[in-house]
Amino acid sequence: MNECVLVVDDDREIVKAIALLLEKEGYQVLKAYDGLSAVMKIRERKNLPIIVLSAKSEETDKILGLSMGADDYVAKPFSPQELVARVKSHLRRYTILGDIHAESMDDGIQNGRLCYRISERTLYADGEPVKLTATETKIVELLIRNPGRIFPAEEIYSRVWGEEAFSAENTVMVHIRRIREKIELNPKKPEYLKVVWGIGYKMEKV
Amino acid sequence: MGTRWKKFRIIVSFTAFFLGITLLLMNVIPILCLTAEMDFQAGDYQKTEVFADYMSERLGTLIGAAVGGENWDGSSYGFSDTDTYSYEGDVSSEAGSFDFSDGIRSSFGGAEENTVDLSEVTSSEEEASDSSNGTESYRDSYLKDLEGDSNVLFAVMYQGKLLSTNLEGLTAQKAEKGNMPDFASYLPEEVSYNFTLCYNAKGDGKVEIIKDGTPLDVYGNGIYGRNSHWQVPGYENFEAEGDAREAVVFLAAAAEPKLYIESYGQGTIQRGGTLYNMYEDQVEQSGMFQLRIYAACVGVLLLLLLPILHLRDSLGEAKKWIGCQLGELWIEVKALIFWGLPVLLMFVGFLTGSFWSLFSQGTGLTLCFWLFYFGFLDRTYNKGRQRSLLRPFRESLQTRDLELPLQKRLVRRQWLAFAPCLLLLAVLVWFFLLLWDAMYWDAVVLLLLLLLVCAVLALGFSLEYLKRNRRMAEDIGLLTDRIAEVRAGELSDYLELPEDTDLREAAENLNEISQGMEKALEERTKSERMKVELVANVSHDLKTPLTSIVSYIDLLEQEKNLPEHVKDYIRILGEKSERLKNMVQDVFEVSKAASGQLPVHLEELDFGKLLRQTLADMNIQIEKSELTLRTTIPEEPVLIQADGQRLYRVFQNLIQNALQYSLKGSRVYLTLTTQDGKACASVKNISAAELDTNTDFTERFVRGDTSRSDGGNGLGLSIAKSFTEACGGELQVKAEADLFVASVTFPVKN
Repeated sequence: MNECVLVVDDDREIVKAIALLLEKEGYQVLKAYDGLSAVMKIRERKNLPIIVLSAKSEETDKILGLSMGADDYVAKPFSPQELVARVKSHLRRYTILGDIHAESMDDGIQNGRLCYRISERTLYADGEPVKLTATETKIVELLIRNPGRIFPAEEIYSRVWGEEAFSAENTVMVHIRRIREKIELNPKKPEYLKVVWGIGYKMEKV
Repeated sequence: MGTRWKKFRIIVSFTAFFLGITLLLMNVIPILCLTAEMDFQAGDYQKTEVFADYMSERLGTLIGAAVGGENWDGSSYGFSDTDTYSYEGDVSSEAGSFDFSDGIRSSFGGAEENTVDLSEVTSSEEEASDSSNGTESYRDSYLKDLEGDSNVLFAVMYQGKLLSTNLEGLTAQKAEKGNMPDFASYLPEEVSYNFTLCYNAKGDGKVEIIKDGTPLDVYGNGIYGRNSHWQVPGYENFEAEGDAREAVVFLAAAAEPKLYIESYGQGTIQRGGTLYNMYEDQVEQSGMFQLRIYAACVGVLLLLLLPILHLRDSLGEAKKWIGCQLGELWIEVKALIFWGLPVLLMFVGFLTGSFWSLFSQGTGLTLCFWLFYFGFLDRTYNKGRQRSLLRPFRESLQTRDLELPLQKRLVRRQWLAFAPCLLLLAVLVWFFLLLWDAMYWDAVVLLLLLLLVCAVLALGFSLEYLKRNRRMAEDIGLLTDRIAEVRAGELSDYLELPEDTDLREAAENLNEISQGMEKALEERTKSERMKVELVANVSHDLKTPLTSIVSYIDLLEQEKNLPEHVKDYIRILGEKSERLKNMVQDVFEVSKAASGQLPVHLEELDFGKLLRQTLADMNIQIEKSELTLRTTIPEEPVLIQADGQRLYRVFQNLIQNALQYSLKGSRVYLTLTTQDGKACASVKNISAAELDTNTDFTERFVRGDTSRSDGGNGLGLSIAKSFTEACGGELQVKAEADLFVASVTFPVKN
C-alpha cells in the first residue's frame, strides 16, 4: 500500500487522530490545517477523491459541499471506523476499479459503489464481491434492478420466498439489516438500502 | 289490552270534554239571553209586552170606534209607542197603531195628522170590504171582522147601547136593561178565557183586568211612564175624557188561542193570527228554553264526569295527541283556520249586523271557542317546531342573500325596508289625486295635503339617508374585506377611507392593529431565527471537540497491552461520548422543531405499516429487554399524511422510552385504532419508577424519575411531540398511577 491521504482540518487534534487511524491501516498521511481552500485547489489540478468533514450536518450543507467538488461528506461527530471505511472505499475505487468499472458496464448494474453482476449473481462493493446468502442475493437483485422503486415488505416476501406473506415486515427487516451490515459503510445510516417508513423498502439510486 | 283500554279512555275523555264544553257554550248564552229578555214568560203569552200592547190597542180602537159613530175612520182612542210590536199579515192589529213622534199624546176622535197612516194601512181591507159589501160603513165592517176572531171576545157599548159583541148570548136587549151586564158570565164554558179586560164598567173611565181570577194592578203609581205596562186610559196624566166616558168595552182573551179560518169569497180569511202567533211563540220558546237547560245540564254532567272517572290524565294525553297531529299541518293553514276564521266570522257578523244573533244563539261562540282552543293547543305543543309552507322560500331567500357581499346585503335590506314606505306614499298620492278630481276642498283634504307634503319631505330625507347608508355599507364592505386580508396574513396593506366617512377611525384602528401585528410577527420571527441560530452555532461548536473526543477514544480502544481497569475507563468514556453525541444532535433538532423550522416531507403512508416497520427495526432491542410487547395493529391500511422518517423517530423514541422505563417483566402495549376519522396509535407501559402525574413529560429535559440519571437525556418525548406536531399530528401523554400512555393521533386520509 502506498496510497497517500491528505488530512485537512483546522482542529489539529482531529487531524492527528485521523492520521493515526489511517496510518494504522497502512496509509501514508499528509497533514494540513486549512480545509476551506484545499478542496477547490485540489479540484483545479487533480481528480482525486475528496471527503469533506463538516460539523454542519444539514442537508443543504451536504449538497453545498458535494457540489463544490467533494466526493463524499461526513458530518461531525463521525465515527472513526466509518471514516476509515469511506477512505478505503474511495481509494479502492479510484485505484483498482478503474478497469473493472469499464468492463462491467455491459453485464453489471452499477449503482454508486455497488455493482451487481447478473451473470454471476454477485454483488460487488467497491470492486470486491460481497458474501451474501441466497435469499439476500435475491432481495438485492430485486431491489438493485429497480433502483428508487419502493417495494412493500409483502411484495418482497412473495417475490423472494414465492409464498404468501405472513409476518413479512419482521422477516424482510431482518434480512435488510444483515445486507446493510455487509454493503453499507455505516449500517446505522444506510446510503443504499433504505426504509421508506410507512410504505416499504428501496435501493437508493446514487 | 292495556294500550287498548288506555286508547279507549283517551277517546272517551276527549269526547266527554268536547261534548260537555260544546253543550254548555251552545246553551248558556241563549239561556242568559232569554232570561234577560222581558218578553220571555215561560209559556204564558198573556204576560208579554206584546200582548199588553195588543190588548191596549184593541181597547183604544174599540173606544175610538164607539165614539166615532157611523163615520168612524179607524182612529184610535189612545196612544202608542213608536216601537210597537207588530205581527205581519195581521191587519187588524195594525189598525190602531200610530206613529207618535214623542211622549204621550192622546187623541180623541182621531187626529187629522194620523189619518193618513191609517188609511194607507187599511186601504186594502177597505177596498176588499167595499167590493164585497158596498153599503156597510167602515166601522161596521171592522167590527164584523173582529167578531170572527174568537181568540178575543169583546163587547162595545156606547151611551148605554150595545154596539157590537161576539159574546154568545149577549144581546142588545140584555144590555139595555139600564144596569151594566156582567160580561164575564157570557164567556163560553168549553173554551178557557182566563184574561178579561173591562173598561169603564163602573163609569170611572178606568180599566179593570182580571187574569186567572185575580185582578191585575193596571196603573201602578197612577202615572203613565216608560215602564207602564198597559197603555190604557185611566192614568192621572191620561184620563178618559168626554165621549170616551160614555163607552164601555169588554175584552177577553183565550188561554190557548187558535187560528180561525173562514171562507171568504173565493179564498179564505184568517182570523186570530196575532194572538195565536204570540201563544205559539211563547210555547215554542219555553220548549226551547227547557231543552237548552237540559242540554246545558248534560254538558255540566259530562264535564263533571272527567274528574269523577279520573279521566283527566287521559284528557291530557288526548290534548297532546291532538297537538301533535296539528303539528303536521302547515302553520299558515292553521293561522288561517284558528285565528283568521273567528276574526272573519266576527267581522262578517259586524258587517251584516248578525253579530249579536250569531253569538246569542251560541253557535258562533262555540265555533270561535273551539277554533281558538285548537289554536292554543297547537301553540302549546308545537311551539318552535312548526311546519311552514313559506320557510323553504324564506330560507332560499336568506341563503341567496348570504351569498352576496356584505355591502350589497346591507343596501338590499335598506331597500326592502324603504319599498313599503314608497308604496304607501304612492297610495297616498293616488288617493289625493282622486280627491283632487272631485275638487272637494275641506279640512280632510287639507290634512291629507299636509300629510302628503310631510311624506314627500320624509321621502327626501330618507333618500339622503339611504345614500349615506349606501356609502357606509360600501365602507363596511371595504373594512370587512380588509379584516379578512389581515386574517389571511396580509399585514402590510393599508386601508384608507375618505376623511368624512363614519368608519375612517375604525379603518385607521385596523391599520394600526395590522401594523402592530406585522411588527410583532417580525420581531418574533427574528427572535426565533436568532434562537435557532444560537442553538445551531452552539451545537456546531460542540461537534468539533466531540469529534476529537470520539476519535481519541477510538484510538485508545485500539491500544493493546492496557491494564484491565484502564480499558474499563475507556469503555465508560466511549459510552458517555456516544450519549453526548446523541444529545447534541437531539438538542439541535428539538430547537429547530420548536421554532417550526424543521423541514418535513409529507407523503401518504400506511400508519400500520410504519409501526410494523419500526417494531421490526427495533426487534433486537425489544428482544434484549425483559419486556413483552403486545401489539394490535389492523391489517388493512390506515392511510395518513406524514413524514415517514420523522414519524419513525417519534415511535422509535416512544418505544425506546417504554423499553427503558418500564417495570421489568411487565408488558408494553402498542395499539392502533381508527375512530371518527382519526387514527390513534398508543404506547402503554407500566413505569418502574413512581410517576408524578402533574409533570408534563413532553417538556424538554423532563424525566419521569427526577432523581436518577440512567442514560436518557429527557429529550425523547419532547422530540416525539415536536416531530408529531410538525407532521400535523397530535401527541398526548397521560400518566395514571403507574400506567404511562403516549398516544399519537393523525387524521385519516380517505
